[in-house]
Amino acid sequence: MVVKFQNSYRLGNTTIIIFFVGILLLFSILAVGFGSVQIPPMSVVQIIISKLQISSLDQGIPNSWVTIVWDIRIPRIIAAVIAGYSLAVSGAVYQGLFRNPLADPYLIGVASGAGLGATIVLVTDVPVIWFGAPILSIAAFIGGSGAVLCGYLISRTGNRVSLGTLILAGVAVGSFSGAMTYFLMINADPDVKPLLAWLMGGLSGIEWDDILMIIPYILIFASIVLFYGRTLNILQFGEQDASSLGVDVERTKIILILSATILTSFVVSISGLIGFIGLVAPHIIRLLWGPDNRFLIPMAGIMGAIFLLIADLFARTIASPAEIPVGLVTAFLGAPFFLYILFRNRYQVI
Amino acid sequence: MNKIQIQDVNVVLNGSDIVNNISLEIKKGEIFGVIGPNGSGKTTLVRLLSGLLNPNSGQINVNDSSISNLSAKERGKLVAVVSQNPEYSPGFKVWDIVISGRNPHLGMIQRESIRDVMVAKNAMERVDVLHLSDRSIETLSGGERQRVFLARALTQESSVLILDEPTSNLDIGYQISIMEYIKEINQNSEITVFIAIHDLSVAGHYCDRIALINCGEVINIGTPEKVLNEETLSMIYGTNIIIVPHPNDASPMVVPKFNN
Repeated sequence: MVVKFQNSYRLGNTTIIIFFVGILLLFSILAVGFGSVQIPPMSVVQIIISKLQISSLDQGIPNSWVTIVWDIRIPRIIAAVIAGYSLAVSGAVYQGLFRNPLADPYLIGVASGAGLGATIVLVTDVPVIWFGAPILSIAAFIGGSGAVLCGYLISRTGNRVSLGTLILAGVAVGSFSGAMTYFLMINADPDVKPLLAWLMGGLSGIEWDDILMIIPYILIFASIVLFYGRTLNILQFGEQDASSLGVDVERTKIILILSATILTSFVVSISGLIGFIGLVAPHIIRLLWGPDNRFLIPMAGIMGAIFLLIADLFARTIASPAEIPVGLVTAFLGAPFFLYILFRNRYQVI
Repeated sequence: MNKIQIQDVNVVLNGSDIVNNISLEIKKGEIFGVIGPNGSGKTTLVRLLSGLLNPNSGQINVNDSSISNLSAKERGKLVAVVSQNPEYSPGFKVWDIVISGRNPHLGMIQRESIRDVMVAKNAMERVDVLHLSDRSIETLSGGERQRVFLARALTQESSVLILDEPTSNLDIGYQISIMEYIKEINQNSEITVFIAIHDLSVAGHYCDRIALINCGEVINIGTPEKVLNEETLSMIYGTNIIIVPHPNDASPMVVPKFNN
């Protein structure tokens, strides 16, 4: 019998990833031009090129466009891409690590824990940035880590993480953190509207400083996670077999939980709670291309970025000139999808 | 030179002795079987040898290096394990599962080379699963799946192969076929095989030497003809047992003596 030569990671996968990165770039440029002031994509590209000092600005482009594009919309679009990518990648990592298809940063309580951590900084006199250290994001990370550790320790029996308990513990931790967050907010300021809008997931008002505060950390930990695709695949055989196959299981778990939690928490610290991206994006990639984490992790990230970009476009245009929190849009689309996944898996005991 | 040395090993879990002062020496290239009733400590012994459990006292050496001092990668090159009920996630292809046996040989960001692919293919050919390459693991029968995990273990190219109840949950056809594959691997690749097994007759036919353990202690050790004797087995298993020679090769067959 002739068997064709096959490599487990097919060359076609790289092509698919490059193709979708192209789509993401295209969408980003279109989204920058879209809004109450419509700006043609070519002008957007020209403004970006001139700001990067590659060439000087065309005379026909008004200064107000430059401000809108560079100071308002581009930070927002970059935030949407970073947040979508990070949340989807964390979702894929948690799902692989806990071997639970429902482990999303929102459902297992990490996002709410991070929200509580960030709120504590926001309602007190603690500085958001202190000598260059992103205190707000670090507080979010501490809250997020507390939540994931709580859920993990409660649901772990022997060498396995109980699938149902992880989600139930996450719901409990999430509700508790949410209640604490609301209490702190109301206590700090009876008019909770601005904080509440942030909490419900808002990308409005994001500035370059917010992006620059978190982007070094996002780049580092998103890159680390990319190298763990094969290891995450091997962890699907259970901790014992993974160990026999040369995986340092405890070290891997620490690195991956740390990375996914930093990605989630740092994003929450600038964008508030945006649910379901971490659930929907990895699931769609799995349905289309299978569960190979080497492909799933980058591809889920790109898909998450595209989703959040589109959701944010809805959020800022659907009730124009008012804005709705992007977290509402993702919940509106993501919650039915979550129910669909539950329905699809209804014969499995969760 | 002895391949595997277990010296004065004790394991205490939750205050009770699971393994009580066991010492064993397994020679290079032999098939060594461990038999004993449920809960006698067979699986604990497998986990000790796999390096998944550290003994409370005592020493376990494989090729003269202490298993508990090795990194996971070094261990994976030395010892391959097929556990009793290997876990898997649906959706993964047979090929992806087998090639993951190369993981101990690969660096963090290193991709599989042509040689890695060839090793995996050869392993799959030897246990006849190459034609299943593109199938999802959950679509296979129990016997096919067991062979896939055997192929993954062979892909590790280790000098020791450890199997925990490789024939449990298989029908008699698959039981014999998996044991024949193991025998062939042992003879042609000089891999030392350590096997925990329930079926005493299968153990009697395929193993070069057998250790009978009970309550974490070695009761008897030696050739199948020596270890499989009616008196000891009847006592340990708590039922009357008789040994009859197999009609073909006279290997000891263990059968219960029914009451009527």
